[in-house]
Amino acid sequence: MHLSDGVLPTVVAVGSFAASGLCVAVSIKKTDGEELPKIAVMTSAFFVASLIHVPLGPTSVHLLLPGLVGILTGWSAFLSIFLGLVLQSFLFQFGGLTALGANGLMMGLPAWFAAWLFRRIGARGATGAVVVAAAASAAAVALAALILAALLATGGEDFFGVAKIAVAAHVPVLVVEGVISAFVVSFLLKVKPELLQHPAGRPSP
Amino acid sequence: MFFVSLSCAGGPAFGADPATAPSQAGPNAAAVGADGERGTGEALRLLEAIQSQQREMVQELRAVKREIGALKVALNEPGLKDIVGGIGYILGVFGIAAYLHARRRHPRSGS
Repeated sequence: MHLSDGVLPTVVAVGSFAASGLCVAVSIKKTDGEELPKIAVMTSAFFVASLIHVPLGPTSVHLLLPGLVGILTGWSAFLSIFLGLVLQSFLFQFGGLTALGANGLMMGLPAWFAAWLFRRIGARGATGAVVVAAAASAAAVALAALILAALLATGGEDFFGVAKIAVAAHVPVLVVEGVISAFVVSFLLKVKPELLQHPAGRPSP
Repeated sequence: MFFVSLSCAGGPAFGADPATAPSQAGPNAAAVGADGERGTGEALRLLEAIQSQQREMVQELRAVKREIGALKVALNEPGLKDIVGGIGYILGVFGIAAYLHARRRHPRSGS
């Protein structure tokens, strides 16, 4: 789910660049310096995840992981994902350079959404956290598909038609990501629960 | 001398051949017909061989073209170098950020 060059109208491409820049600035502002190593690892994971393809009939879709990145990095997720997208665009030719802003919004906003959802209702019990993590990851993928449809709708496509196709194509990804997030979160809860805690909850130095 | 005379006689002998031709026309024509048939059969066989060879070639060419297409796709796919390079970039960028952050937090802690 990467937009290519020339798919979006120029106005939308420029506008989404501005919006993405704003989100990156907010993300940097909210990033705790002590969290940087974790963010780096999550960025790497996001960067590489797009190479893992899930076969789907004649075509295949790849993992996206915005939900997991959001759950683990909170506000910093947008920065993380944007950097990952920049490198994917340069090194893998995934998505066009001019569509980078739109792609950032498409992946970054669902990550923030998953982070919000997880921090809001996921921090109660261990099983609850795992379930919420899975649900938040799945919802993030669906939200990314909806944002894709909305962006394409600005180019004159039919919103509901594209949305239906995009969501349907990503149902396997949605399920796989939910399972992955559940495993990662349950593992981290056992091994290193600090990683899942709210960075803002920590006293700032 | 004898040979020369013979060869000299050969000329008129050939010249006289048409005179005897009518009597030999039947068997001669049959021979020519059999010869032609044999030639045509051989030509047909050759043609068939060439055609089957060509079919094989076309098939092989198609396979090669498919392979080239697959190669082109594979060339566009990111390799290990791109992956490791990207991870290196990410760690480098965040390493610099962490360094700047640490320097701001502990100014001149070294000296």
